Amino acid sequence: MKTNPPNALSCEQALARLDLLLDGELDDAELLAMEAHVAECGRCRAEAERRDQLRAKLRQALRKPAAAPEFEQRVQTMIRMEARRGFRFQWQYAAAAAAVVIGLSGTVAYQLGHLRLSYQQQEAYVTSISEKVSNIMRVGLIDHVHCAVFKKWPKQSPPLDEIVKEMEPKYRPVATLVKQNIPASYRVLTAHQCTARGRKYIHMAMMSTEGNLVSLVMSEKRTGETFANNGIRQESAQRFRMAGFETAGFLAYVISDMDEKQNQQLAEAIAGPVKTFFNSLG
Amino acid sequence: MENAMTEQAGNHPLAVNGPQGLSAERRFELEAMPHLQDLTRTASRLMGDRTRAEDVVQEAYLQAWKSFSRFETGTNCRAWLYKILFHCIHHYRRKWFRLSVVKPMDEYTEATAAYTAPIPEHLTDEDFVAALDKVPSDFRAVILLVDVEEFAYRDAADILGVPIGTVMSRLNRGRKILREQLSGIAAEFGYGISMEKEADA
Ligand SMILES: [Zn+2]
Ligand SMILES: [Zn+2]
Repeated sequence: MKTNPPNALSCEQALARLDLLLDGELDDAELLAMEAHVAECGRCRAEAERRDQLRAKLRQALRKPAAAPEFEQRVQTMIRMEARRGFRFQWQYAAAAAAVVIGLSGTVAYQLGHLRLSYQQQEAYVTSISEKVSNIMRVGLIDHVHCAVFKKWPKQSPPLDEIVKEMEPKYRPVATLVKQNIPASYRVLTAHQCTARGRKYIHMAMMSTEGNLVSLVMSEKRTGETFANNGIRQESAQRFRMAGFETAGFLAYVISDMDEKQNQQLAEAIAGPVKTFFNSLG
Repeated sequence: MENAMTEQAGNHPLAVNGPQGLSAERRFELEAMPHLQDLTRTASRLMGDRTRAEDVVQEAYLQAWKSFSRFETGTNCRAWLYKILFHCIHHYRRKWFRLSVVKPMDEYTEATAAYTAPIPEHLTDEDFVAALDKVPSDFRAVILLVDVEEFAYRDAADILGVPIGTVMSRLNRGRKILREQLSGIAAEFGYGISMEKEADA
């Protein structure tokens, strides 16, 4: 430390103001005094550099993208839905319910059953996603969203032969076929016939041990409806992955919130047996 | 004129066009959505996991949307969102963890009036994250706001709803704990530093 003019700072005073300096919180007079000290004093300058470096490293360590694109989409969709509706939407309770689920199980399933949305709210949600997919994909997606995503599924499922009783007997074998061709870790949640937006569906929903929700959705072809190829057609909208294929009389979809590859693999695993079975129904 | 608009916007955000003729929804997208990354980052470090962080951030955005009519265009949207976020975090904790936020910590007021040790060279980003996670959450929050997100003390105080003096003391204390954690980690891996050693020429 050197001999200083009367209003100059001692090292002790300088150190006490160093964080304020680095945080940009000093007023002009104090700033000048600090700058003068730091310019003169090697020790305080080195200290300033160390503290600044700590901050820089911390910032660098933490400033990695934290939010996944899917999350951004989810928030975006929520805001759009909020903007479009004219009534109170109970997302607070939804968040609370989700928190309970998380608290208990440590994992989050991405289905929205806990939201307890009204049919109109579901419609708004479906519409917001549907805008992003082709007409032919929409046919399957609508049922997956209405009938699987917005349902609350129990933690345990009854045996498959109980589950399939919601299906006409002629379709029941498809449930067994699917079950046999997917990994054993998938649990069948439901196998039924349902209607959404005036269209009839044959629908099976399954859940992986990680909580991914998968549907096989089938609907009788209407005039002109076809994927126009013999393979599997893929599309994505937000967190939904869709793979579509067809039998002679039906459009079929495997839709889930898994990644594209997993979804495709599941579709490949069941497309063959499903086609064979439905084509044999005649 | 703008007042009249924001008044109505409370009821029907859709029906009202904001100052530049943009819908409230579009303005929200332009002003609020770009901060989602920042909020999620802060929330992740405070909530401990991504899922919970996403929950509170989503809730914060919902609240923000609902009160967007009260937000004045041109003011600090990011600070406003952070304020809502901390409000949501506070509620979330109270509700689900029964952690009444541990308040009056001993307010340690003196600034770090001592020379500190250099930051060990070999620490990775993960080491920094691990060290920060060990800082008690009230202190961690201030570090996140001031050091990482670069808020002014005044904004941080407003976001947290505490006096500026509290921000300063927590910042001090938090940084001290952070430095201790870092040198602890460094020592563990054998690239230790001695706390007494002063880098001095
Ligand atoms: Zn000095
Ligand atoms: Zn169904």
